[in-house]
Amino acid sequence: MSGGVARRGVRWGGRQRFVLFSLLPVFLLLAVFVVLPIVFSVVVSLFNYNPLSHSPPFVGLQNYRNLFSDGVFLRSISNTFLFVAVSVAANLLLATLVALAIDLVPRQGPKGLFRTVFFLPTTANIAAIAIVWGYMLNPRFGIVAGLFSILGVNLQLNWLGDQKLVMASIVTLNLWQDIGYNIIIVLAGLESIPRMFYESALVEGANRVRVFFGITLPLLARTMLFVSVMTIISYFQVFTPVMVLTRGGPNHASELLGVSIYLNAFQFSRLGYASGMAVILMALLLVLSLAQMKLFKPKWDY
Amino acid sequence: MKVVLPRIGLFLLCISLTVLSGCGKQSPASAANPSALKGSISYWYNQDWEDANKLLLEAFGKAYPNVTVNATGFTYDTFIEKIRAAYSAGEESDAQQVFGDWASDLMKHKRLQKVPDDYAAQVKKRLFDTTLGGYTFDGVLYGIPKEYNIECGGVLYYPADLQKAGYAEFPRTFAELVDAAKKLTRLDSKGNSVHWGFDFMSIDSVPYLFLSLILQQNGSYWAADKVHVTFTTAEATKAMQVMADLVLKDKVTDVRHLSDPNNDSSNYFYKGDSSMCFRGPWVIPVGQKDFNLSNFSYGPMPSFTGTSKAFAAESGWGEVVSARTRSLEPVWAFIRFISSPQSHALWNSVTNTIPSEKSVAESKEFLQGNPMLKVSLDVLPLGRPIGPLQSIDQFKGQIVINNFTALCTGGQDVPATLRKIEEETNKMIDEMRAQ
Amino acid sequence: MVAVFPFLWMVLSSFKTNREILLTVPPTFLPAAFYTGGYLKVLFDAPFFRWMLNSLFIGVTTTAAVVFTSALVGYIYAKFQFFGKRTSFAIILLTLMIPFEVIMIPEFLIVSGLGLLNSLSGIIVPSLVSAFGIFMCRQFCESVPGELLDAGRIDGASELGIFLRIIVPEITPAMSALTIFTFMGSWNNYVWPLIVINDQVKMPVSLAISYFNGAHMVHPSYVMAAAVLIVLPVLAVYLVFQRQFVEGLALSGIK
Repeated sequence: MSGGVARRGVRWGGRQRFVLFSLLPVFLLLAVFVVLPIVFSVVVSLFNYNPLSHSPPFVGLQNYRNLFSDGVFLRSISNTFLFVAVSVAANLLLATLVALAIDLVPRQGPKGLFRTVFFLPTTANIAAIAIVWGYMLNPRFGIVAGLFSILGVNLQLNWLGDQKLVMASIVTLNLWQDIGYNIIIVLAGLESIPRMFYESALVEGANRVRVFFGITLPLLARTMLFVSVMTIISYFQVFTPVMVLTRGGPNHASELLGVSIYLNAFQFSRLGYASGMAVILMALLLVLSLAQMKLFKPKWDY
Repeated sequence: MKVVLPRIGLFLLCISLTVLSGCGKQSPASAANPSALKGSISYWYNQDWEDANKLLLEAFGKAYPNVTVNATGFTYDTFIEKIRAAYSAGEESDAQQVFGDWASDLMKHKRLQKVPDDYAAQVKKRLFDTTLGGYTFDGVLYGIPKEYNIECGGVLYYPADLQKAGYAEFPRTFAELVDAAKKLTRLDSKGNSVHWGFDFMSIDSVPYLFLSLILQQNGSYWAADKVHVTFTTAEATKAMQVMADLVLKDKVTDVRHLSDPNNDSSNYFYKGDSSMCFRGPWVIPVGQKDFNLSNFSYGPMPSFTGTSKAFAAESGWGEVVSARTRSLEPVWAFIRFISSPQSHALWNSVTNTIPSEKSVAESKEFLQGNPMLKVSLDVLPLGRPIGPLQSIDQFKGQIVINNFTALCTGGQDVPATLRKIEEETNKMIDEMRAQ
Repeated sequence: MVAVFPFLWMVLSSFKTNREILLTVPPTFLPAAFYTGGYLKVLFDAPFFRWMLNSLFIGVTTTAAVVFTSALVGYIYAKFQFFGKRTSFAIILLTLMIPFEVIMIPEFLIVSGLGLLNSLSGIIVPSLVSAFGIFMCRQFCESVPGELLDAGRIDGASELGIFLRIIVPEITPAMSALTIFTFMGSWNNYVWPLIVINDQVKMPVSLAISYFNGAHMVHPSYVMAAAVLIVLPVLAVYLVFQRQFVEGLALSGIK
């Protein structure tokens, strides 16, 4: 712990004032618009809640008990774990590879072009993209099917209607649209590494691989930690592409937690139940994130 | 959504003139002097009906020049959330155009204003009972439906296909229907159907076919207490077995395209993937306008037992008024105006929906403008309200569809399916009623 | 190239008629004729330009606020110690872990209680700070050498001065990225604005997609046209800021 603030004791030093005035408005906004609703939701999970009701019945932990015996919810959790495991691994790997590749491009012009091309899908609205992919993947009229038939492959795969294929399709489409974020962030991380490290390494005669493992990777650690924590948090909540394309079907094969929560909160008017799901999700994510940050804490400073 | 059939032009003109002239039954006070009524009201409606609503709004504006209506349209998918959020914060508009099932929650929690007694009495006589079910709570009417939401009674078909199967006319009995369907179904080498003889795989068609098969056997799905349901009856078993056989034995359709929310079974029909498609009449304009087809027709669904053509229906789109509205007179003047027989006639014509109004359904002009709807119009009196299932969406979309899919993919048999539907529905009913 | 294909298909489809998209089997790649009806309908059937302006206003204010506060607070979490630091950061992270649908109703009740409904403020104010931004800036600020900061303090610079003149230039790549992300997020945000806004003229442009993709209607041509139009400003922001990006990292390279 740096001694700075502690040493100053109770005097309102310049630094303390700075910290206070910077944090206070931000905390206030977060507290009112995010923390408060979250607390509300946690409380609501203890009720059979309908926002229109004047006196919703208190059910204590009944929602949670029901959740653990709800086949659909359990299926949703396993779907989500699978989705996250596959997607996050693929995302981190691909994003890093692409970012590294782009970073290697010597000239700014083509470099910028590549960066743009890979970021392009991310700029579009995910709902619109999902609709586009929906048309493309239709087994009879979609362009993917059309391509297959041109190539002479007679598979007639039902990308979204087949329980075994739908998850793969959602993973692919979500990755396609989302990977741009991480590519940009990893690129930013790569470009924050001061060139002088590379220069001194080259002077010492280190080869590419050693440079990568000895300099790039360690210095990228903070960025990678951020990317992995955020991607996991985000992918656990994926919802729009599924809602637009399959609504969780066929038969819950593509139902992710975000979708279950949405359906229960709005379509089925079970906000208490949905809040219970969200609380479980939140607890899960908190544990996962803190674990990641403990395990992979970068141990050095510059 | 503009109507392009030329035949309807004259009909619309007549109706518009009548509506514009402000005729129709209205409340005594404002009928006397519409321009004396002042005020401003807010009205939220479904964007799908933009064209029709705009016409009615214009007509109202001319009849009541001193009442301002702030009307905003919202897209269907988030409209229910908006309404719920608004009502829970007390920020709702004076009146909204809602879909039948949405009103039940609002009525249960006393957020709606009942229809004034004198008007309610009139409305109950003018409209089909079936359509009023979703807007009635404890015997009191809280809204006025414009649409008879019928998902049964008719079948899209290609006459050319039927002729190939040996049917010069649409099949008259259920047995003939199944026979034609089997003849028109084509399978591939693996035994999967590549062309469906009779497709009923959609979120609405499956549950409604099921319920209608029960009702036509003179069965009921309500338990003695009238609050809970029972699906383990002999009639329900027979109904579910028939549907399972159609899918698994006769293969006249398959369950694979059921989960495609962007391509309804009617879309597949219009693209030529099925010869017959069991769907509500609202898909007819899609075929005519968007797909530009004129080689299909709409036939009457035969009775399962040969004697009854009963079916269940939920209430369709209609208007409700918030209990907290401060502009009582203007808002009810507005509602009465846009629910007059003439307004209804105009609205149903432009939106191509089935009228909730008996007079419109029976009128020759309406039929002339929408000849393919004859099939549906004929069976309207035979419908029954689906009943207080608490959350019809959950019943249809989750409970029935999921269990039926499990049945069709071999996950469970008919008795298990029925048992689960019954258990899950009753559980849902209990949970919703406690709120 | 796989990356671009669906995007390209979307643009090309926007020039096809509805029928062409729905009916032709197997599907065609290029449109039969350049049909601009989709664009005309989108631009003139709805108050599209007004919506664009609304979105622009919301986007710019939200982005400016988020980037500034995130950098500031991220810096503080990276380089300062204070009471409750770990707990408060955990809470900030926590706010990212709950799906929006669950907190939507309570948030709506709060916003309504504050009188912010049916106004652009109702969309802007709740989004002025971002836990994502704070987290990201913290990570990047951690990499800034402490010596630079100490040097600044010895030179007599104020805390704010240190922030603006030392930290900000150091984390420009991150801030550019955050600018792009925040603007995009705000631009594409559609459920919350729909719930909060009642008057059509105050709506942002993001809901044009669902405006044309109604429950019973199938109009992919209009949807594609709207989607393409909506993407353009985001691309513009990206192109502008990615140059900042490049310049920023050029500066940080020379050290």
